[in-house]
Amino acid sequence: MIVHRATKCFAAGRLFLLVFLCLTAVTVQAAQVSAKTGGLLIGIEPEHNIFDQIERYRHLAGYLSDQLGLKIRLTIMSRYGEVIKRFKSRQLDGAFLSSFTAALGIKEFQLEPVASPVNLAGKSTSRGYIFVRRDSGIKTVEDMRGKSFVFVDPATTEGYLFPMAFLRRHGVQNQDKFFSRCWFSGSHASALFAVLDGRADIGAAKDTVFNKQITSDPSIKSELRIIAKSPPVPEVTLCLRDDIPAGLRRRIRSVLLNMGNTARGRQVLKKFAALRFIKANDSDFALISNMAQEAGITMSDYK
Amino acid sequence: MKAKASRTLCRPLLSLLFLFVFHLPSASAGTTLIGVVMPDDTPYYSAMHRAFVKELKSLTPTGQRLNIIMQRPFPDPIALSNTARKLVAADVNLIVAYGSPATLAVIQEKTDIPLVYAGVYNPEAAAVKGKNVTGCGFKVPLTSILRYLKSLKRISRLSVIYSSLEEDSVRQADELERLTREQHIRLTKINIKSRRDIEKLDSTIDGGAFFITGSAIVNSFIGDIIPMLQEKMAPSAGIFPDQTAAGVTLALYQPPAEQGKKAAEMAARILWGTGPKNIAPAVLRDTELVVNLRAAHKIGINFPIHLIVEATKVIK
Repeated sequence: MIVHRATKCFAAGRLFLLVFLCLTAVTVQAAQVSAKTGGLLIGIEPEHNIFDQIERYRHLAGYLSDQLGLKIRLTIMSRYGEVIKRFKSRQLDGAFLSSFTAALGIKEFQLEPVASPVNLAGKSTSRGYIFVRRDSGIKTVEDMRGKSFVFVDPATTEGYLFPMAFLRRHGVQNQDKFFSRCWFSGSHASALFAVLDGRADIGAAKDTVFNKQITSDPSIKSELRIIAKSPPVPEVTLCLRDDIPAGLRRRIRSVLLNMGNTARGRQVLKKFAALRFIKANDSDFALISNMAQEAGITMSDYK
Repeated sequence: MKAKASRTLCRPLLSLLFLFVFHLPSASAGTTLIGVVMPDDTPYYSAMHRAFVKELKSLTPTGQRLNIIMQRPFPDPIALSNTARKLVAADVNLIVAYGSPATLAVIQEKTDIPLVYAGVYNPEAAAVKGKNVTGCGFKVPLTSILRYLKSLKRISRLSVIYSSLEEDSVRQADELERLTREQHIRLTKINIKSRRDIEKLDSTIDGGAFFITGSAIVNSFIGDIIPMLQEKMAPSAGIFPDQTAAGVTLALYQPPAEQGKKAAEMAARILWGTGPKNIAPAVLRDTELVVNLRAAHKIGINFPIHLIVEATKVIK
């Protein structure tokens, strides 16, 4: 039986849905319970390999639960923008958010940015890259005319906001007319693979995913050319609702910022692939609003 | 001098002989005669040709008839050269060649008849140039194929099944040799020129992973090759989509219909007045990925979910 893209997407979607429903079944129940037990439901935005992602966050949730004396439960979003809906319907107490959704959540739901992990390369930020295959001959924006562009998701800074701002700055007012095809891959790694395979001529993704793939396969570096880089933006930030008691928010921040002081904390950080957590602030996200303005994107439209 | 004179005499005589033996139709008023060289009956090129004919018909003015002479020689240099000579002798208006070996065979005839090629792997690296030559080829990143094979199993050795009779197949094998060297993977080249090489194949393969080049000769034996690889529990990858039907584990390919359509547009422009030198050759680079879960299951391999997500088509 041959399953074509649409059917395959459906099949892959079903698998994802199954994982998602299992998690949701647990977490929705948890949400109902959380009010009674004092537990917290924390959302995570999806990455390319959600199984690895769940594994990484599971250890962190366990550590937080033990340190805080209350159950921290995780729920994985089906896509980047979904987190906004969940906050709106009050089905989340907090979430580890990428910069775009964090900026949106801070603006629209008064979320408090609490802490950001510092990755193994010593960075808490990421940059957006616009890249092409080296043998494509594309070097300038004008060379991109009539080609195909793969973005990540409309609710990502590195995978949509930055490339849109870059294109506007270089005179591309209507991307649908300028490119032969524009589409969303759903994850940063998928955008990268789409360009590597030739399924798209130009792609955008965040540098941390880009570099991770190069580390696992150094040949990728020689295949791609980076056309543009964005300024650094916070990669992932834990944001909490402002109706969570201020004392609890302070405790959560304190536990995260002091993880490196205990052996178990260091062990969990290692499994989470981070060196430490650092304090996050509202001002970290000012750049995102400016970028959205330049890209002609109204962030409140994402609600 | 004598030899040269005798060759000069021989060529037209041979052409006449071909015409006499094969009774090829010739161009007449209101009829456009197109000669096609398709190595063997390669499904990838057949799909390309179907799209070519459909598009060319749609571009042909009312009242103009298309007469296509289809030649499907075995893809060895002599058979291809004979076929090219035959079409030149038939004085067709245009020759269409699929794949690099067929294209090179026509170019070697040094004819004034315009040539449009399609299905040539990375034409920028091939010698498919000439004053009457244009066409469209394709490029599939072999690095991606290697990466996908590596995500299926740990690979310390890759075997490349190619044919030294086909120039583009050799180039693909060489490209993989360079890539595997960079990645410290041992490479074995398996050369298939005839059925005799297939009979010896079983004793030369022993596991690892396999890349099947875009070779018409190798493709014609694909039904014999795949069961041998499956018996050794070895994953395989190729750049022709139809190979997955034979049991290749994954294929990354350029959709053939797009090349056929593009070649038809070029052919139409030439037939209605534009010189081939005024039509820029094209290289199509968009690809589709097919993963064959059924074939993978047979050799005890589970495709990782992130690879299935990337696929355009999944065979269950």
